[in-house]
Amino acid sequence: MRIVIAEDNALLREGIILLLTGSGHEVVADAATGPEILPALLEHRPDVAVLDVRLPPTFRDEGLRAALAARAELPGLPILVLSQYVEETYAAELLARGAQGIGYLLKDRVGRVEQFLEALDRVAAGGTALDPEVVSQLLTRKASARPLQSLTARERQVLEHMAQGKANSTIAAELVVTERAVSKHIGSIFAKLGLEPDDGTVHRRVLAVLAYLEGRGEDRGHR
Amino acid sequence: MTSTPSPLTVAVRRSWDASRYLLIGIPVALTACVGVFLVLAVLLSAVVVIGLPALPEAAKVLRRFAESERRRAAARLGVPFRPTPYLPLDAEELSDRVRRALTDPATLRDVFRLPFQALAGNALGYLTMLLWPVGLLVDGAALTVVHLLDRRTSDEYGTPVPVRRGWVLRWHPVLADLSASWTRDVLTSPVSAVLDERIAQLTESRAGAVEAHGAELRRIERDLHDGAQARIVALSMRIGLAKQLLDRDPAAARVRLDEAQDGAEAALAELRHVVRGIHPPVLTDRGLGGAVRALAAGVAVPAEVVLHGIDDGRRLPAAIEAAAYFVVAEALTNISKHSGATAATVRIARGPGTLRVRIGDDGRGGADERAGSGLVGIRRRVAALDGTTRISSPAGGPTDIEVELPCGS
Repeated sequence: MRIVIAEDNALLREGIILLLTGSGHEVVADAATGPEILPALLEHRPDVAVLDVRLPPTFRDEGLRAALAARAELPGLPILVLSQYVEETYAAELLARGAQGIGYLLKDRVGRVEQFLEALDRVAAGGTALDPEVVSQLLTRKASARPLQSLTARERQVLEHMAQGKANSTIAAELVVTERAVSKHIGSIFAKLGLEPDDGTVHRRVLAVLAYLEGRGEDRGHR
Repeated sequence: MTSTPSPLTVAVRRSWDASRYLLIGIPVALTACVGVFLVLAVLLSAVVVIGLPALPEAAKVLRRFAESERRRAAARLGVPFRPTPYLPLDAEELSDRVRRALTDPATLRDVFRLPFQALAGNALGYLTMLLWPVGLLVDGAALTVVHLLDRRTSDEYGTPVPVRRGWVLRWHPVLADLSASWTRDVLTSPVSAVLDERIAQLTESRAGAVEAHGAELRRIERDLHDGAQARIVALSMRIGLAKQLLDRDPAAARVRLDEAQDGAEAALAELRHVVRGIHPPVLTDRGLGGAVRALAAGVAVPAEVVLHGIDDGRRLPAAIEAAAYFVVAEALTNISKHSGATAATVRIARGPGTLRVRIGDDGRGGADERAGSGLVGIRRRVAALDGTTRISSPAGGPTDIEVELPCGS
């Protein structure tokens, strides 16, 4: 895949480039500041962009802003946002215009090379990758909700993986169960939470689950 | 000509205003009388320790009483009094509260005035009553006669004739003004005392700030030492072990490396936690308004955020932003954990020199500061910045937390 990355820390930038080229990808451009991102994306039209949130010149959230601007300029451009910390609000902003081709992960996850590459592939293919920490922030908030408490321990695990944007086959492999069992669990979760039955489109069901967890309906947008 | 009220009417009206002040002095004096005995009772019970917790509470009641007397006297004299520089009595430790209640000069002044108030208030009140029949008879007769003899308001040269004031009723205003001035002189602090006491307050809050700052540094040091640092040491050891095992037993080396990776992730999580405790990154990214909105969006209870004067162009000092954020975070956590509320409101307003943060809910109230809720932490963090905290949470609700932080201009 052709990838554009934005990361201001040279050590991390080199590390990520090494990791990506080592697994057969091509880094076509690397940006070290926020304003460089959009021109680079427009020029190279990569298969996926990997953006750090905090970048020069202001060291605030320009990576995130650049991601939102890029999505407006180039609809459907897959973007994976990496950050030193995750904030549920940022996830909501990223997902406001659909979950297709959006990833939001802690930088820590890069260390799990295989899982990171799998998430990157998933995002590039139009899927969703949400950090487990975002999902657990959402789940903690809704912890006392009755329907969530009615889930079995296994269903809860499946829900967490599902909200991260994983496909049934991936969930099955990680939990060491059959895909059939996973889809049975998912059916049961959707029934217990009172959601529309799963139609098998991963990014759509991520949104449905997130909307449920956020308790604000599907169209959340900016507040 | 006839539109000018008669001298008697004027005298009676003046006397009546003054008498109201003096007559209210009677129930006030009786209250002071009760107060004297209450103070004695509280002091006695405090000597045998059981009454200690009541001491600061009694001081608060006394302050309110004295404050209302000051307001009454100020209204009588028509001039505002200087604010009384009481030492705050909301310290967390009982011993601190008792010490301040006993040493605060302004409170001591209130106490010493009580017996005098009890005596003088009564005496003046009865004197007022006595003066009325006498005054009405004497002044009534005299002023009526004078009035009938001489109705002119100005003499033959056009100079206004001063309104005649009677001979007995004129004493009511004099007594009332004397009593009010006495209240001012005894109950309010002289300017130098106001300054001294403000200095005492500042010294106290600065010592608190230094202490809180030190405690904060020690906490961060301990968190890093016991947490991330220890994990990284263990991590390095695991990598060392893995290197040793690499040739002999690759499978075991792999296990060590897996553990090392787990350890690295745990260390990162730990560091994130420490960083969040020092200065939440979202504050840097989004400013106080954005950060608080993100907080409110993250709690189960629907929380409305109302901001006044909080804009990105005019950022507050980092310590104030962090404290305000901390207060809101703690309060919202409490609300979603304990209050059973269905709605919450967060109001943040920047006024001249202060930042006011107010969090309210419609829950069941009864938040207990001693029960280890985050309230103690809120007080401590706010006090460290010379701010004030007011918590109201009656059983049955609602809970209302109001914090004021000084923030320069």
